[in-house]
Amino acid sequence: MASWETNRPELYDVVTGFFPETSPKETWATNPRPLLVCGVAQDPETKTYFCRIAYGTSKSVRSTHGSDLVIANVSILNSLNLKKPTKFVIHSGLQMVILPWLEEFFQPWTGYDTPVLSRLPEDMQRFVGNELSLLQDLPQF
Amino acid sequence: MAQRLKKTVSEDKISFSPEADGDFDIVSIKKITEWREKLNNRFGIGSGKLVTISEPTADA
Repeated sequence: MASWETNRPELYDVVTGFFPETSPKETWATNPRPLLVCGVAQDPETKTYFCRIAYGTSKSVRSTHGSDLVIANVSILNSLNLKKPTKFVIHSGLQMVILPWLEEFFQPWTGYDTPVLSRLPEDMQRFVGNELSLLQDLPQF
Repeated sequence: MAQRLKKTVSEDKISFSPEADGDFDIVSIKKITEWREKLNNRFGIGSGKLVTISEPTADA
């Protein structure tokens, strides 16, 4: 068990982990991608943490749904430890999953000892909170 | 005559993990839905056994 699994991720943390890929076809990327924590829960029996996750993409960042979180400002990207402009897809709960906080699903990037990369600045937290609170289809714990 | 040493561009560069260079695709809703159903069945997600710790709010 990875030591970070016992450290709870926080709401609005940017973390790195796995998500099904569309390319290459029918495979999973070996490179963990940026993900956004949109809710946290725990299994009281196993003590395992669970996160509601919105995925990040570096594709079609400019053509986006108005409710998605787009980060393209270089200084903000730097502060979040992201290199490429990134869109977190938050406009629909159908785009999200709930994942156990386990190394099967999350993996630190090189140089990190935890999958937690950073946390959104407060103005972005407010934006995401407002958008998510409007959704009727959020995956439920 | 003293000359002010110019700061080079490389001094301002931030080092990123090599993984940060990755291309991260858009994922189809169909694929996410299939995966969510497998996860929910495997871990009992959505059955009411998980205790919520933090949820987003409009005034976050």
